Amino acid sequence: MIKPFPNINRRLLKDRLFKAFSAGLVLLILSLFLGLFAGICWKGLSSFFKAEIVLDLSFSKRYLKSTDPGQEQALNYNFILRKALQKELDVLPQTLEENRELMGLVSPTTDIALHSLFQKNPEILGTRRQISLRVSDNVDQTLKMKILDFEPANSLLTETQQEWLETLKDQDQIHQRFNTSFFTSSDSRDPMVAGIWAALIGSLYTLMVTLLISLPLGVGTALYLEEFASKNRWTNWIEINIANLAAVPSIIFGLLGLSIFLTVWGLPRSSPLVGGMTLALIMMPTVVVSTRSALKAIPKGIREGAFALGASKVQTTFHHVLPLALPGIITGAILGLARTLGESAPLLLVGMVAFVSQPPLTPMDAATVLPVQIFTWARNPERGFIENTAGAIFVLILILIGISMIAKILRQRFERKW
Amino acid sequence: MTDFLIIILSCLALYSATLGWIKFLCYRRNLERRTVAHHYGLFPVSIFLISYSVCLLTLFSFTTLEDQGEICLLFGISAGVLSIFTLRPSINPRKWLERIVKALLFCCSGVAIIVTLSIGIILFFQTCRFFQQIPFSNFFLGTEWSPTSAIIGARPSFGSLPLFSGTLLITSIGLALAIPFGIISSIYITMIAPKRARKIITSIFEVAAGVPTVVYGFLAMTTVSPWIKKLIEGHGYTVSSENALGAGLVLGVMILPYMSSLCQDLFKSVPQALKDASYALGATTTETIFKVVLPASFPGVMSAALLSLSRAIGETMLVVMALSLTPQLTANPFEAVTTVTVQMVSLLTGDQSFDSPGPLAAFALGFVLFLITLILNLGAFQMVRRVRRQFGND
Repeated sequence: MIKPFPNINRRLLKDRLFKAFSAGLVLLILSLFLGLFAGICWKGLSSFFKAEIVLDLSFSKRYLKSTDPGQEQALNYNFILRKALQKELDVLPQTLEENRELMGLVSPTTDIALHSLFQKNPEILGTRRQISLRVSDNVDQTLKMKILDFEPANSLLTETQQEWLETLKDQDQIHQRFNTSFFTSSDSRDPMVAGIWAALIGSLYTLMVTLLISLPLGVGTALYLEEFASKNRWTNWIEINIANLAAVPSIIFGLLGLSIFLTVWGLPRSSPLVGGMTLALIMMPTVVVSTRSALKAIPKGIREGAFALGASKVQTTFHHVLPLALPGIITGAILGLARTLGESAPLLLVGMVAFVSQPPLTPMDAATVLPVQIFTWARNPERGFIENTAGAIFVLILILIGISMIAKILRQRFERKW
Repeated sequence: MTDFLIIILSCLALYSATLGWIKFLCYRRNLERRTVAHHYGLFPVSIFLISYSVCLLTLFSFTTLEDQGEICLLFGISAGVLSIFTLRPSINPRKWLERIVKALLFCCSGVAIIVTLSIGIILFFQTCRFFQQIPFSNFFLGTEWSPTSAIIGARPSFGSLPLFSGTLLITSIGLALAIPFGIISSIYITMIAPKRARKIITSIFEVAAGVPTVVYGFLAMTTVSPWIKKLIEGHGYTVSSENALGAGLVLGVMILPYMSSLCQDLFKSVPQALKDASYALGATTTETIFKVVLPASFPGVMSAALLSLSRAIGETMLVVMALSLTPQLTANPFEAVTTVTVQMVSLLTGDQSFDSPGPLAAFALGFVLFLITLILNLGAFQMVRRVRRQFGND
């Protein structure tokens, strides 16, 4: 007699083992992703808080740089600051070195901040005010490491500075504040005041240019391939080209942008216009693919109904098929836009790595985009910039997740089952 | 900006003028209008736009872009006159409009080909210029890469072998992680996982696939590479802080969602009848996977692996951030290496002029990269086509 299933138990065990193995592997991958991004977000969160120091500053008329009324009035801010710090800490620095140590407590851009404050309210001249100022990057990092219970290998501050810091903390003059300037200010040499505003605006302009170019081109290509062209060698050739363009490394497009848009056409270097045109070539295949699948989902009956009523091919396409496919096309375009937002390699080649401290006013001005800003900050050796990088990454990932959520909601709301 | 406004306004003026003009003609000759009224307006506007832009393009391709307002105005007026006088009550503008729309869509579809061709042509000519200065064999067989020689007066050397070996090392580490993990995770997602878990896992994978490469570069630079250095140096080996292993591993993690999504589409497209037949013969899930699904979709898995490879080779931001510029011909994953893309970025973001061999070398590297990825992509498409034909849903 033949047994129906000779070694069924062994086979079932194998089956179960493989299932458990693959589940474990997927779990490992998921925890890897979650762990890595949780790490970045944790690091990034600390960049949203920066320490500030409250000082009693005297804007006496004695500190005016020139008394000539015709000239723009300016005070000797560094001197005011030094006086206030000396009074607060009860020290009298003698040498240049000691002076530098003392001024190393506050941000090196404080004089600029004080000048703009003075220009906005000139009535503070001749009064004493309690003003909270940014501390220097080293002080901020030292304070944060204390919170995290993390002892650095070599201290960022000198011993005297650390003593001063303790005194100031005991007098309750140092506070952690939410760092709004991270979102409203632009790039700076000082990590304490650097922000992502210019990069955000640059990204916005770049994406606008990208969308304006790639959407008509991509939709046009998809309409031609799906609705008008018969299947022949030419359309086959176009399809292969589009699939290939989707898989060509993005840096190659950067080479194209560099040699055609910049060198041959002479468009302005590091402008959102050129960056957007380069990215449009990268985004076009995505738009074509998503538009084609949206068009394929429209049933034949719609087209035949339109034909039966006497509409021509073009009328059928533009009055009936395209409006019905629009939600799918828009969803695809939004997802493509999210991918393009993170693209940075081709932008490096068309010169969008420049140091940009002003948000661009038109698409022809020099600009940078968020991922490139992340790249430039990450290369900075200062600790504060590494923290800012993580903060910018946090913002970027939030924007990306937001965009894909919007696309998902749009798809759910407007999707029609035929 | 004002130029655009003027063009738009003149189009509108043309539109209304021609509507009036055609109405007048029809009325005078007692004719019925043949098609929808606005076709009579759209027809001259499109004729105007096309003839105007063709004139301007030919003008600017022969002369430099300077202030030539009078000639532009002349072109505009003559295009407008032409467009009004091409319109007669006897012609059918709808037919012509449809021809124009079709031609425009055809031109849109040609852009993809133009882009590919122009990439190829530009890279080819720049590479030719490069090889006029540097001999062919030095580039492909040389082992020393120093495009800007440190010693003043010494000749720069362009031996690209260390760069390609570095790229090979990084991509092989990355793919060794991404391919097996990608295949197994996609098997789990499509064949084994319960429905709810499938939704959660795919959405996490989607988010991970959408994360920009700079983020992965930052991870490799600040977390993974230092961690590997610390771990291995504890055992008494010397490890570079920009080691190839860290960058390669992060590259693998980055490509994994891409590979996984390609494989998921593939396994989903295996006909249900095949799987059902296997189950009906008494096979377990694992046996069905290994004896039916995987063999049936083998060419597809190969094409997914080729696409991942072409992506890994061309990956730029991650390696630019995580690796250094020191070229080394080594297979040791703990040493610092450099890749083709890193060198391209560093050569082209410098201040050298485009005629010096440095930037031209970047174009030569780009050309080789383009050819490699082109061949890989074409191979992958061929395999995908074979799978589709096999499953009968082409």
